[in-house]
Amino acid sequence: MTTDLPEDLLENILCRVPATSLKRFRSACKRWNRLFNDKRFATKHFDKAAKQFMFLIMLKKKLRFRSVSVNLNDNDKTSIELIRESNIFRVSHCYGLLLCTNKDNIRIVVWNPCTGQTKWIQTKTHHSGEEATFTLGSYQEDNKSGNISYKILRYDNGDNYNPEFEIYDLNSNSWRILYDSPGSHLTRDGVFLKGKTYWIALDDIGDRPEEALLVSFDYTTERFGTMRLPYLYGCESLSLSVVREEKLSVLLQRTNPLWTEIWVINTIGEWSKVLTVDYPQFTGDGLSTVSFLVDEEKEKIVCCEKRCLFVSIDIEHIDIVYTTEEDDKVTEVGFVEATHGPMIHNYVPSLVQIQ
Amino acid sequence: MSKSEKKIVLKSLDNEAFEVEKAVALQSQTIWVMCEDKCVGNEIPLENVTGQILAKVIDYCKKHAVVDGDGDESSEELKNWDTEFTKNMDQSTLFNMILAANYLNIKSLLNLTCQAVADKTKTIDEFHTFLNIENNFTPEEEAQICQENLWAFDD
Repeated sequence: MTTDLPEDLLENILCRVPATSLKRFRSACKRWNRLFNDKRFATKHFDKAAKQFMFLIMLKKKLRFRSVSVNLNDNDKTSIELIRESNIFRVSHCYGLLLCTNKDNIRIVVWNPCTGQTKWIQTKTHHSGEEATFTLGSYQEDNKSGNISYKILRYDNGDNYNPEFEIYDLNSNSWRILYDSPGSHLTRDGVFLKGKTYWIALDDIGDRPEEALLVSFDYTTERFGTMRLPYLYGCESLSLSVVREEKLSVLLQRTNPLWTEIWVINTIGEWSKVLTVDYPQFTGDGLSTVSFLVDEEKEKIVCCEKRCLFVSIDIEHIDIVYTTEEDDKVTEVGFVEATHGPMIHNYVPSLVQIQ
Repeated sequence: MSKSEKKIVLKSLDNEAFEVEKAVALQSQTIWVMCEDKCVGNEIPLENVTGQILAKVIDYCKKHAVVDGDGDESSEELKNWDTEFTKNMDQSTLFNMILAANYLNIKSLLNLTCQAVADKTKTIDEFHTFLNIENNFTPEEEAQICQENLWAFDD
């Protein structure tokens, strides 16, 4: 015997099915195809469905943009899936939406790879150029409606001392100048977590040695904030990662001898160390970029390193993806050719609508 | 309070009677409202639920009432119990459990059973068979949507 369920109960089931499975069901029936593009359903799905933690990787060959899902449980790192060939050079993302820019920052698009929805962003002439950085973030319109809206923050990394920040609101489709500034030099790749984008920043004002800080930008209040990192000085490579859309972690690395530490920060701003790795045998001349992903539940860490090895006058980049399992055992699991750091983005697909 | 006042009798669609503790039955908002109204005696007729399904619903409520009252079981253990509870239910039982949880207004059981169906719905074939949904697209329309889907998450 089979029983037909009323519409609301069917919806209650479907809003719990993971986003990438739902995507496959689009061609299943007309009613469902309509529901798939319904904002109310998307919100419900966002609240109820289990999050799928994937990661995106940027690859060098023809500037392809790929999505890699890593099943840390089975140590299966190779389910590399081609999304589409494109000239995407950089991505920033928030709640499943990707902000993609090309190399010159002339073409900018907000894209939900799961629903296929896109929105092209009008830029101004002074926005182009390789040093410009665009990050995507979100804010809640008001407490009552619970509606999420999106903003883009733009700054020019070429101007170290006095960068101008601009905000684009996807609701009003317009750019305006932001009057707050972080007071330090932001690195290019911020990560989004719970209404804020976080960056590693360098404070090099005055005679003191350069200090590394954590800077945040709140998309609701449009204000910058600053926090301490575990160490102020001495790290040659620092990068940020978001753990399960819950908390922030930082990877700190020094060379000669090479060591890596990974720390996470709790809600009241205290850092705690989760991992130390020493590489006594490492003989390279330095590291340029490291990006990483922490899975505390499974006690595993995936790192993606770009090691610079000097071969005559050419600099050869070798990118290594490795996982760190329990007991701090490091296993190298593959090589990819990436464009630039960070190569890994933690990514959670969703059905959220751009507007 | 006498012993009889703490008990309540639930009567299924097929006239099966279940005597349960009030604390167990009152997890259902529907029964709670019925008891508040005092329009029923100690026996509550549940016209939408069969005895077979009601027995399972009562099992669930008993388990959850004990935990809420005594707190002697960890939430982890309860979670495992919930998983086992729905694990071997077939589609028809799960659907009837969803309908019963909805009618009796037991939110946690509705969430659990809807999640169980969602977990069993991974492929498009499962979508059609498990959810009883027929494909009403023409082959051309279907091909068009598949084409749009091509580039993303093709797993």
